[in-house]
Amino acid sequence: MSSNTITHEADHGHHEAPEVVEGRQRLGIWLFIVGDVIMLASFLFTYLYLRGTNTGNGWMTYLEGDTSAANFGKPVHEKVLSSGLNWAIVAVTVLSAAVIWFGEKHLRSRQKGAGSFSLIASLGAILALAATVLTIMQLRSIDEHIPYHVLSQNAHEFVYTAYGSAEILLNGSSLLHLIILAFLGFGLAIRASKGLVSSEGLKWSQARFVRFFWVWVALGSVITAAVTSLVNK
Amino acid sequence: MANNNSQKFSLKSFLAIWAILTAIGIWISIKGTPWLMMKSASHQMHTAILTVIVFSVAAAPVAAGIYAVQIYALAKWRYKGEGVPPDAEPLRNNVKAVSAWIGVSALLTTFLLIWGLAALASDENVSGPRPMTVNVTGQQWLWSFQYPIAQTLLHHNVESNVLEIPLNNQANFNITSVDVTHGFWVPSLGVKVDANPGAITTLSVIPNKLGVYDIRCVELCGLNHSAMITKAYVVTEKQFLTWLKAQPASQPVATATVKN
Amino acid sequence: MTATIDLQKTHAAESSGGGFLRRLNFGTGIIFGVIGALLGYFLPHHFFDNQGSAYADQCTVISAVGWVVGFWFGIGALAGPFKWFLGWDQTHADEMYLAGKNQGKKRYWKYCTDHKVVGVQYLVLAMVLLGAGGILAMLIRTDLISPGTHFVNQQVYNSFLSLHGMLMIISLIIAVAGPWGNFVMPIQCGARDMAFPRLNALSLWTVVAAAVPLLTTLFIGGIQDGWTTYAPISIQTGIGMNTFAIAIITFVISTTVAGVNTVCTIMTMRTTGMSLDRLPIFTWASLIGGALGLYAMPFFATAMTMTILDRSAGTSFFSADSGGTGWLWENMFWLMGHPEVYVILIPAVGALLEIATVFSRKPLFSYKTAIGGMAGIAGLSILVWAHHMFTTGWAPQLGGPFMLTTELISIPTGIIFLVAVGTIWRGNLWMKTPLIWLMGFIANFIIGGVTGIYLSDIPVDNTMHGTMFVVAHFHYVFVGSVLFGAIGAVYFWFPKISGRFLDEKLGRISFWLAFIGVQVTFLAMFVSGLRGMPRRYASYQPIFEHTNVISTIGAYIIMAGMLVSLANIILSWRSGEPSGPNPWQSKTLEWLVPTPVPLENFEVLPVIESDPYTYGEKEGAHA
Repeated sequence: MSSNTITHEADHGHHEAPEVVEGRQRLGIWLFIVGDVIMLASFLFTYLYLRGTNTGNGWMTYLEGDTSAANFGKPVHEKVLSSGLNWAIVAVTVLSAAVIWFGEKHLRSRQKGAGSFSLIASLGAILALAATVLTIMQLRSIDEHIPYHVLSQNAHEFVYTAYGSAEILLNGSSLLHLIILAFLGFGLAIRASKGLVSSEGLKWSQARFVRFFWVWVALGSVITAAVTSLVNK
Repeated sequence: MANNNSQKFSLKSFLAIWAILTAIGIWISIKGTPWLMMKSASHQMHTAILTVIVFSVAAAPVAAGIYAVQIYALAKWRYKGEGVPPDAEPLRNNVKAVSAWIGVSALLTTFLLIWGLAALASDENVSGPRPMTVNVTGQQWLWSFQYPIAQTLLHHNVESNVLEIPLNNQANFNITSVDVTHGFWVPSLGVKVDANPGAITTLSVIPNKLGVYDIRCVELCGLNHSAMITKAYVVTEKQFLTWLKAQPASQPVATATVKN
Repeated sequence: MTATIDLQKTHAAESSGGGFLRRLNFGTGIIFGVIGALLGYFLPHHFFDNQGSAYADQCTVISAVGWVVGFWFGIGALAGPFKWFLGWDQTHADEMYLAGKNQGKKRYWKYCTDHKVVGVQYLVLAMVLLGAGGILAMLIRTDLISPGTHFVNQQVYNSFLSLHGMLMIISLIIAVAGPWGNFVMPIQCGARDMAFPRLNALSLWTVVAAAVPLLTTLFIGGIQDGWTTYAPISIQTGIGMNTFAIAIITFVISTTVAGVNTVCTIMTMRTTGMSLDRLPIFTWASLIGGALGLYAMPFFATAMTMTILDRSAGTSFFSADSGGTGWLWENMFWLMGHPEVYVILIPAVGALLEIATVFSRKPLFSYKTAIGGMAGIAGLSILVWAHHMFTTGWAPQLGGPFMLTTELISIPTGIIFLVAVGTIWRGNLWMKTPLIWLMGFIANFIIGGVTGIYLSDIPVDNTMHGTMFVVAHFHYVFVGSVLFGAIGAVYFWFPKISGRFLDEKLGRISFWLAFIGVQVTFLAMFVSGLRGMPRRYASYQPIFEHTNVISTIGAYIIMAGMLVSLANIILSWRSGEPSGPNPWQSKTLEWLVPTPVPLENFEVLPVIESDPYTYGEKEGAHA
């Protein structure tokens, strides 16, 4: 060994200090969020790009009937997703994030044990589930209300318009994220009831990192709602 | 440990190797490029060939420099003893060399960029006499060409699976596809653009040499992608009109129209 | 010491091994994966209209997802989140078991958190995928020996070229970052393991999970759309596209996890005194490559998700009939596709620069410039994607700006040459195989890089895009440069993982066969392209025959070279000359620990006082 570059000193045995472990877990959750931000950005890019190019005027219009010459000149229709339902999903998601935020801060400042946080995490998870239900309703409404083109080759089959397609992508991703939030919320609730989430030492940091992710998902849903309110009829 | 017998460097020998390699590189660039590339039948193709020559000549001394260092290093700086070689002189940095290197590469890059932008502008600024439109449709797996000028001159539609265009006249192409993305390429004319379903892409070119040239599809479009080849005939104006008149009248093809 | 006592206690605890989780391995992964695939295939019967034209697609997609989830379950990857949820945290005994303690060779078949085991697993996996891609390459080149199709028809040929491309891309992404980014990098940092050891095992086994649907594509009709799977033909092509798409999404999960793990390890687990300016260049390369991959790969997952939806769910992202456009696919794909080639290149460059220092007995030349060069390449690569779309007709007004950003990349790329050349400059060149692969890299990368510059110029690209010229360009970079780096890295670090040298003679034979083979194959291929031969042609016009014959002969020479190295690895693993822990007298930390490397790498974590490039310098001269 070349001794001029390295000297050896005792470390903490083979165990790491809690701050060290917490530091890397924090960076880990931030990097994961960065990846998720990029993915959402790609979905929103899709939405805005399809809206901007409006190929063949197919962004959100449909013809009555098929595209044969017989139907030429028939009126074209457009319909948009209900913005009320959209913002309701956002509101519930943001509310669930607020619950987790204040719950986790309350836990930390009160220096208390696990019981109250368990309830709060459960509440957050239930709200996430509620948002999930609303999102499923929104997805189904795409099926029922969003205009579709009838393919001339296959009169009984249909495809969604580009608008409907982009909304499916965004809502599908939203659904997945909300289910993950519910999983995280209930998981924290169970762990808190076992004393694995408390304000001492390393144990509350997992709640903190879940909070980071939860807030990001809520922020993502606000951004998505804002972007998709630009419909360009 | 530091080795006091630092490796020697003979600038003369190095420059000799560099000069020889550069000369070879430049010779290959100037002589080899036109021989290897297809014969040009348009300004765009000529620009492309010229650009390859110029870029190659510019790259020759750079590549030669790297190869010269390798040759010199392997010839002069090999450790010929047994076991682990002693440490060499620790050259950690040389600010002059680094600055010069980055400076030269920035200059070269600027030159390439200016040349490229100028060439691009000249390619796009096609303006020639008697511009004639040809509508090109790609489909799995053939090309078809529709000549609107036939409607004007002969009062019927003409469609063909070969491209026929008159020499020294500007040809404007409107290109689309009825199924998947195809790539419309006329190698000797140096023009290439995709045929996209639901969109119309455009090209303009002035062929300046008579002849028969290939048209090839360059975007993988399925099973018979490699069979999607047809011919482009650059003929005199008289020959073009004769050919046009000889074509049978055809129904307007259901080409993809952009719904507006 | 407390450490010793702890180990003694845990030895007693985990020798009472048993339990369902501890019995899981690659075999159970396959079993549950198959069960998942079958469930996924038959469940749709109840939910989807079996008369719909998308029915076969829907079944295939869900079946492929079922395979991945089943495999994860069967390999033990899902245990982590499940146990977290229920609050069953792992004990120290669990941790040691997962790290493969006292399990001998069996741990290589299991979900093992030891980064050194993961590294070896990645090496084997990369070689398997490279072999599969290589077989396809030989089938392609053999069929191209003369015009017309021969033993494969066009459909099969198109599938072969598509799978060849994707298999090679995946194997090159993991070829250096996988084995050495895992085995070597944490030790170079002075750490005991990666930041998230369980995620490390997850990222490895997820690539294995992804490889199965990818290969399955070939057996269910293949795909007709190349490795770039452009839409709308990807919507039209056979059901193989579904397994391909799921394979990619699965692979993106692996790369994202690996990227997070790599960046966290390097940013938070460096030992005392290992400041960023003392970090070995390979670790810097791992950091930059990992971060770039984290940025780029999500686009790929989005693109494939849209392909699946268009095929199975009636959406129209890419159908021009209903408001979609193929340009959406192309932009989304290349937003990933261009940074991704630098994710592939940068770790290979890092390994080669490491080799340059050791085998010249000199410090890395201009260390900070080297890092700036790699970071510059990575940063610029985010801005160049549409140079793959110059001839698509999309946004012609953006041609100039993308030409600018693309040509700018040649500046940091030139810096890589500067650093490599500057490091060997007046060095005492130790003519061992790793250095020879480095020399081959330098020679090939010049050609690969310069030909890229031609392609970045739009008027020239109009003649060369979509031709064999492009294919030759990127093969010079991927095979002539990256693969040479990957193989050089194997010859360099093999003694560390096995305690034996790879045979020098065989190494040189392999190198010369590969090097000559690359020139023969791909120089002739440039000519094919210049003369006008498009790429992805199952049969070509007779004027292209001569250059194709030469390329095919060259391919066989490359194959011979690869087989010689493969034989070298197999033979040397058991009977290679013993090397000792630091045969190359390198100064980076991985060489200063014993071989075989102990489970937790270091008895005591080292304190660093200088960078590892103090060749020829007095003690304390460079701190």
